[in-house]
Amino acid sequence: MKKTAYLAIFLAVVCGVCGVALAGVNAITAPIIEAMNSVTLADGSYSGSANGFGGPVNVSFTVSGGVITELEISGDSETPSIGGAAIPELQAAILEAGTIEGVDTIGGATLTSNGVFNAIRSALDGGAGSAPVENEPVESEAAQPDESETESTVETIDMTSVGDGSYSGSAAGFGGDVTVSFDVTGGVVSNFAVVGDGETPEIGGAAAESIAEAINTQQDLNFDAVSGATVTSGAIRDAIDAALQGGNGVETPVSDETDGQPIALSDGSYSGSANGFGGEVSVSFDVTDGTVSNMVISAESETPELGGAAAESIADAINASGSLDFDAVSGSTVTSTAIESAINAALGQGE
Amino acid sequence: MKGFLRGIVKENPVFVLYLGLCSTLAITTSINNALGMGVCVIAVLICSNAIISAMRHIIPDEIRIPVFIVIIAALVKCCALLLQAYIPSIYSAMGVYIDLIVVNCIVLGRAEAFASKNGIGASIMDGLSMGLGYTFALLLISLIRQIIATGAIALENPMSGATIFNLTLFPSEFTVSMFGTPTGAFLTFAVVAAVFTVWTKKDSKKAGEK
Amino acid sequence: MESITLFISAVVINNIILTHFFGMCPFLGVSKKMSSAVGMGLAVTFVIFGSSLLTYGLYYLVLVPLQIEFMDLLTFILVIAAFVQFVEMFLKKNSPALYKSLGIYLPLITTNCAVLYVAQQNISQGFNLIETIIYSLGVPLGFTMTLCIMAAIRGRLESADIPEPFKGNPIALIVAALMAIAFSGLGGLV
Repeated sequence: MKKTAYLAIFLAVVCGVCGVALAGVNAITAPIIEAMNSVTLADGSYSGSANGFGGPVNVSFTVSGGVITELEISGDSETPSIGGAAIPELQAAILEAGTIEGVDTIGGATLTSNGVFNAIRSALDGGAGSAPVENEPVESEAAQPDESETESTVETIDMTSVGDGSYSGSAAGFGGDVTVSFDVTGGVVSNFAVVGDGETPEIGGAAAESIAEAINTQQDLNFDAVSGATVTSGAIRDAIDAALQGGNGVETPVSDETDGQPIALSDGSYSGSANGFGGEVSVSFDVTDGTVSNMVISAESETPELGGAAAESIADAINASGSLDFDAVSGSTVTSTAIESAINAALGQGE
Repeated sequence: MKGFLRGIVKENPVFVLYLGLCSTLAITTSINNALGMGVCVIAVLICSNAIISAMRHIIPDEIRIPVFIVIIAALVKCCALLLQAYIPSIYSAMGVYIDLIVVNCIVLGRAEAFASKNGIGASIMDGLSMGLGYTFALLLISLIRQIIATGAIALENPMSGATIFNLTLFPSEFTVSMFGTPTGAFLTFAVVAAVFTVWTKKDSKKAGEK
Repeated sequence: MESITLFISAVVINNIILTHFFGMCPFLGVSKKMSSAVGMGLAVTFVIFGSSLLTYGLYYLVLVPLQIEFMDLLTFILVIAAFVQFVEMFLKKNSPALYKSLGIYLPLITTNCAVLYVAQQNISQGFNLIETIIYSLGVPLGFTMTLCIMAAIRGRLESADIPEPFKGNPIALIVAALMAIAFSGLGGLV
């Protein structure tokens, strides 16, 4: 009996010590966990993502009047019959409650459910992958240029009615302007590029890349919006529309001048391209009252530290001076020359 | 050094001893998750081996298993709480599998087979070695599964969410998403285990011939 | 969740071995003979059912009122270990043949992920008592069923010509992969 008592006491002591240690850790961590779980619902549009079961879960939602009023969830890597089936249930539950507090995880789909909750939390906290957007962009979404809607059900662009030429245009994206430039030859799109530095890299930025790839592969300006990056996708579509509407550099009348001469510029939007060091260099810019603005040079195939850096500084210089004259950057002669040729091409002087 | 390598190849806890399989198959959908789990297991292994080794002379033999379990459980729960508070992204990625480190046969197995019979220093090394072997196994399987299932390998910093790298190896039309499912896990594990069998047999054959 | 849906989901759709990978050690170790598979399955069912009820009561009657929920992992595993010890003693006295055939795997039920998993799920899914009973009976029944199917297949494999590297566990894992695909097809049931 004594032995059993000793064993029992020993075990109890070990449990006690472990329990105390645990209690200590718990005391330290509980407040932090508590703070993380509470959510403050400020009005605005949000999007975020977090890990679900098989991959990321993306959410985009709107809060108005302190309540979640719209919610889209996508989780393509979730098991269709479990997490995938749980998503509509969760969506309904969250919308009914207007918040995520008190909404239970769906039985059997805990990881997916937590992924959704964490995605919403991280969006609200302005954490990795999202930034809360205040009321303005919500309104401007509705007030987009009337040629397009921002949902994925946009009017299809009839490629056969798009004239040949180089186009560029821009529209307001998620965090800033989104600029597109592309060429059309015989109804086929090529060299589609999109620049959107204000977009969230992992969401809008990644969407822009995949959309550009899709357009260049299919050689068609119609693309599917990327779920979770609705605003950016819509902006790209608007930018394309703006480019098509706003005319292209090739058609705008231009006085004939040869290289090196001061060029009298007619107002309009221009874009052109030429071969640089490693590949194509394209430029797009606007002219208003004879002054150049919004010069964007994309030189993806140039050596980043040489041609790429040169392209940046040349663009800066042109935007600052408002004129197309610039000094070639030493060490990047090929790229500089290409930029000049691209500008000339844009102005219709041919290469 | 040889003893250290032992845990990684010859006595790899997963492919040779077939311990700790539950988490191995479940957590290996991406190398991020695999690393997270691996690091946790290494931490728990080292701490539990050290504590149990330190106490090995005073723990009565009859109740040694329950005592080991209590110590391991406390360590795992501490780990889970700390993760939940400080690195919530790993915590939510690993979900229920953190708590299940308690019943990970590797941890209890090493405590029983090694830490209860050897000094603290050796036990710590053993924990590290087995833990690394386990992590190596996790990484191997998750690398294969992630590449085949998504065509890309990606690693992100769990604390800031920043992507460390994201390499697309082949286009998504060629991926076999089945490898992200339990079926793929079993298949990958089966093939790697078979490869390991051949490899260790060759090694022991060579050693035998010498 | 409807009771029947919960039961079917526990047994088949979220099958503990083929979907969640819990209970792999006995799955690979005990599934070589049908008799030991059945015995193991029944033992596991008894342990999971009993310990689930005990831990459920422990959580809601002791841990929650005392606000020491963080002690759940520690106390659950102790309850499970004690319960397995009890089952071991019972079997040793009343059914020595079964006790012998289960061998080392009986005490290993303590570390069977499935037992702890079910205990935890009862809490984290917020089941009431009825749902807990259904779930903690359904899961081990699914386990037993899978174990028996595997034992039957492995019995056939004995006479098959298996490549050398795959003999033993690797071929069992390939069989498990095939079973997993088959079972995943049942996902649309509910």
